[in-house]
Amino acid sequence: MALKTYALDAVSVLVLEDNRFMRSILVNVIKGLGVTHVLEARDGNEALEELRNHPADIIVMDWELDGMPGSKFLQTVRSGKRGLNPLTPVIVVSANTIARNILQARDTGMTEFLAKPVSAASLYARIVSIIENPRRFVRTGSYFGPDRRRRFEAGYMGPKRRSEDRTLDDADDIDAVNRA
Amino acid sequence: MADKPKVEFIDNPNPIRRKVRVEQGIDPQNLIKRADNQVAKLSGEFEEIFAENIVALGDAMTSLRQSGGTDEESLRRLRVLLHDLRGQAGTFGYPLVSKVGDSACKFIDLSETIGGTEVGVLNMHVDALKAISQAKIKGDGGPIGAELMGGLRKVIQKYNEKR
Repeated sequence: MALKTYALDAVSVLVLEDNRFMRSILVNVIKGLGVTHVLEARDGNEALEELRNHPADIIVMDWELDGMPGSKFLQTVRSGKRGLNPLTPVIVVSANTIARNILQARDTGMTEFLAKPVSAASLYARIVSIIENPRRFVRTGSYFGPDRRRRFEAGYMGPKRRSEDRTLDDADDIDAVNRA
Repeated sequence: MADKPKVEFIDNPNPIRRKVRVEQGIDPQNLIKRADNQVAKLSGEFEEIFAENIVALGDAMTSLRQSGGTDEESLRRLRVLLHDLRGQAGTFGYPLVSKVGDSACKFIDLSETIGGTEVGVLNMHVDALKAISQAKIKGDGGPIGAELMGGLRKVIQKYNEKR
């Protein structure tokens, strides 16, 4: 299906990134895509404060953060405590594509993953995916976040993430391959 | 036997859908190009950061080498610089820098310990980045880029075989 052009001027995005220049890159891309309301935060505490005062429609966050780890920030958002919206879509942006890093972000409740270096095309594609294919949320004893199974068709052939139907989903195996 | 954990599904109300509208007849590539142009305005600043990071990488590498790999602060600094470069360079036309930085970061992240041998491997990565910076090799670097990456890959493969 052809990519649609969306007017994003009514959407608000919070960018959480500790590196000043990387934050500028992300903000410029997002504004270039037509988002006019972009909030910025340098660390998790600042981002939580921003979200409590100005809830964002989408969070774009780095994973390897100074101070509060990215995983702690995402857990706090998903907890929904103190006025946070636990259903907010979260795009994790990271240069660290080692499988265990991505799986940690997924298992903490990220919505989309975007590998750095970022391009406008790749970030736009993630935003369109959030608009067009919203994922239902799942609460289990140990997880709250978007359903980690992306497709629900009977013929789905992708990786199976649930413990009961997991076959080969071992992060260390993927890391060993990546290392070569 | 323990009870199976209860699974609850929550439908996503997707409020964003109500905030956006499709702009009929407008090619999304125009939007993407506009955003790319917006980012391109930062390329001058990136060139400065790149040059500064190369100097800082050299300094961190020297300290790490002198300590035989034991200086944790130098290693941390080295990884931060490599991590920043791999995350930014590709956006400004230096994908080869991102690849070399990525290879070095993965090497650090997946190494159990850092000693003399590991320092040697990291030094080769830093030398490659210095060469790319000096020659201002943009894009994938063509045959020179392939040779650089091929050389680093071989070094890591050899290292892995010896483990």
